[in-house]
Amino acid sequence: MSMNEIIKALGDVDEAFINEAEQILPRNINRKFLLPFVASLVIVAGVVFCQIHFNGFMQTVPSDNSIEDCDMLESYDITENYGKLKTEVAEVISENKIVMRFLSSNEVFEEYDEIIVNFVEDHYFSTGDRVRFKFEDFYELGGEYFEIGN
Amino acid sequence: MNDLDIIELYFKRDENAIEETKKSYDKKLVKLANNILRNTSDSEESVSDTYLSAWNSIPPQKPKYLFAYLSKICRCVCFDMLDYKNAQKRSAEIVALSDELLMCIPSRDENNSEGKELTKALERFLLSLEKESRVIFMRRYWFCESVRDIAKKFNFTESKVKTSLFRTRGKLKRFLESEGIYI
Repeated sequence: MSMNEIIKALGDVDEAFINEAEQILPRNINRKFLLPFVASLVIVAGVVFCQIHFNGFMQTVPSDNSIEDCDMLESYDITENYGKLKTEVAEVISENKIVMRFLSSNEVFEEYDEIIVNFVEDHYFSTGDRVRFKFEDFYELGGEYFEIGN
Repeated sequence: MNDLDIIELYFKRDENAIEETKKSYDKKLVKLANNILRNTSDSEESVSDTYLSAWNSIPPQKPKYLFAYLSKICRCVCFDMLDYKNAQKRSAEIVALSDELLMCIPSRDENNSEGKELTKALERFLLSLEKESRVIFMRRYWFCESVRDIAKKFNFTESKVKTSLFRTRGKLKRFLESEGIYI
């Protein structure tokens, strides 16, 4: 029996082996595209994470609000399903913590007259500044940035 | 058209079966034939013979994997053609393949084994391999693909393919010895 007969004998193996070998190994996706693909995934995941946990790092409360020009602070950009609540700064506790007093009512907040708000970054408010505040902000970020006070 | 539909055409003796087979597998079969024969016209002739053989054998045969079935025929036709055209001198590729496999054959002994016995042993050997090694081995020695083509197809480096083949040949040698198969 010659060496070629090994190759010939291999030719008679079960067709399942041939079928298997004919398929591309599933894990071998083209590596040229693997790195950009993974990098894109990481970037997208990072953006989504930031949007969820920091209320969109590109849309946080303006950090340079002076006492003079922050009388109407734009609310965060989430949805507007619940409308907006008008509040004013009742008390400044620190540069990132204020007590907001509700000027308009909302069924969700009707039991509260005031809430304590913790901002992630320092902001400069003074008592009487009016802050437009959306319910979604509170609801979505309550555990992260806001505290409720009576 | 999927494999089952094509096989159904064969069973109905519908000549479109061959056309549909060509549409699905002609390119792959010509590539396989060319891997063995290294000659385009011979490869095309072998593939035509393959279709004829498939037409004559289905039915009664009802292949589970149509391409595997066709390629098995095609491979056989190609080796027969090689034998016919050049009984003493193999094509360069087959010589190369034989040389590679030479090292995994136990030393000559009085015992001989029949082809079928050897095939069964090879099947047991293939089953003992990990999938990746098995696929690379089959690609090289069944489909007669070059190391470069295998590496390209699976996005491996050529050295990885060579290493895998080297180790698999070593395992084959030990396996054949353990099976008492000597050439």
